[in-house]
Parts: sequence; structure tokens; C-alpha cells
Amino acid sequence: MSTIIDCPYCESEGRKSPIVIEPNLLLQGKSFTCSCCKSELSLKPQSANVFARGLKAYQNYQHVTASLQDAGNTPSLA
Amino acid sequence: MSVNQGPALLSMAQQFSGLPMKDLIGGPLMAAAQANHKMAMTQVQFMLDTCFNKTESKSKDSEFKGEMLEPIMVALTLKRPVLTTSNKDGEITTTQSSVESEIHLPLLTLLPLNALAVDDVNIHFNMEVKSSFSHEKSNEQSQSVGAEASFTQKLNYGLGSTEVSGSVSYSNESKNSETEKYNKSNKATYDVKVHAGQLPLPEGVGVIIKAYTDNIAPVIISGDGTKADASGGKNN
Repeated sequence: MSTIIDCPYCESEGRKSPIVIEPNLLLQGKSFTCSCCKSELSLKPQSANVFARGLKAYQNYQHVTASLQDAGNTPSLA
Repeated sequence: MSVNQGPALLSMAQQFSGLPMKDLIGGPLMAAAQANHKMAMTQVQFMLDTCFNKTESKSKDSEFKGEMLEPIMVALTLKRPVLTTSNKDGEITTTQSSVESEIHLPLLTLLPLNALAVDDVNIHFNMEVKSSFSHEKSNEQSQSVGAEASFTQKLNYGLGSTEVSGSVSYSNESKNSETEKYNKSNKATYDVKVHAGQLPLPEGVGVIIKAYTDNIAPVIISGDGTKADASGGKNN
């Protein structure tokens, strides 16, 4: 489970360089580095609560879709 | 009794015409479509509830007076290493510092959204109807007739004696057997395979995320209000 954003600095200089972010680690305070300009991206403590709520909702969403997937894989005739 | 006179064979057309094909084929397809609909609605609901704040439109000039959705922003720190070279009295020194910026990204761009959907439905329906009729009839008859006779005559005219003897045998055997066999069997297998896989994000969601991510590049305003170089910011 990871997400990718373009490095803001590289983008401002006309380059496209992805920073791969693992949301759970980002919440734990880890930083993620751009492979091109070595910029480090980390979560500001003031946004930790907002991000934690979003991540929890995302995990619930994953559970719902997983159960729907199971239901789809074993359909039953009414 | 000929085969034609036996019980009628099962009518294949009749056997298949009674099948609920609509349910057999349409049932799994409808179930897959409903699952896809549920998953799509779940995704939309998740995005609206989690990634956006609902606000009332405050602009009086705006034609839109209803509810507005504002993306929930997450503050991030972006540190960029900077090497500074200085030449002091012919001595070149290099120092490393970092430039720190604060950027705000929509929560939507930080969550790895996925679109899950049933992308493959295979329905295999095999039906086998067996119908057979056989009639066997055998008739076996055997007859044997045997006769045995012996005749002895003694004539003795002096005393006048006569002897006569004889034997006759007869056998008749008859076997009748009739076997009638009638078999019929039905066999049906119904196999449904459904696979739910990852699909590309819907176009609309992709456009929103792209619009957000395309604007991640920092805009730094210098003290005089003009746009400055992106590498500016707070020196640590």
C-alpha cells in the first residue's frame, strides 16, 4: 500500500520525479526521499490527527471492499 | 416387441427447454454487477466523507448556492539539502544546510485509492441427458422324442407261451425369457467463476487527483510580494 506524488522541488524545476510514500510509515513520522533531488517529505505533527483519521477511514474502506470482493467471488443465486 | 414399441426416449429439446437459463446466466452476472455497484458507491462515499469537508457556499456572487466540498489538507514538511560553497581567502569551504518548506496536500492524494471491481465472470454449464432403451427377448424351445421298443416273441407251440416287451420315451422342454431394460439419467454441472480485480481509477477521480498533484510545486513569495525561486524558504 503506497502512494506516489511528484517531488514539488523537481516539479518546480520542470522535472518529474516521484516520491513513493507509505501512508502508515508517514503517520509514524518517517520521511520519504526524492530519488532525484534528495528532498525529504515528512508529516507535520499538527496534521497527524487529520491524517490518522483519514487513514483509519481508508482501512475501513479496504475491509468493506475486501468483503464485497469475497461476496463477488462466491455469488449465490437468490 | 421391437424397440419402437418401448417407452418413448426422453425428448432432449424438452429437457433443455425447461432449464432456467435466465437465472443460470443472468443470476451471476447480476450479482457481479450489483457487487460492482456497491464497490463503486463505497468508494464515492469514502472519498466524500473522508477526504472532503462539506461547507455552505459563502459567495454571494456565485450562482451555486448549495453545499460545497473542500479538500481536507494535510501539512507536510519538505526538506531539501543545500550545499553552499564559500571561498574565504582562497580557502574553499563547503557547508551543507537544508531548506525547509511547508506544503499542504489534499488528503486524497496521500491515500492509495484503488478501484476494485469484478472484472471477469465465467459461467460453465454442462448438462448431460442420457436416455436409452433396450429390449431383449429370447425364446428357447427344445423338444426331444425318443422311442425305444423291443419285441421278443417266443413261440413255443408246445406249451403255447408268448413274451412281448417295449418302451417309449418323450421329453419336451421350452424356455422363454424376456428382458426389458430402460435407463435414463440426468446429469448437470453448474460452475461459476468470478474474479474481482484491480481496475484503473475512474476518470473523474483521476482528474481530481491530477489537478491536485500538478499544483504541488511550491510557490514562494518573497518579501516584496513577487514570486521567488522555489528553493527559497526558511534556512536551518
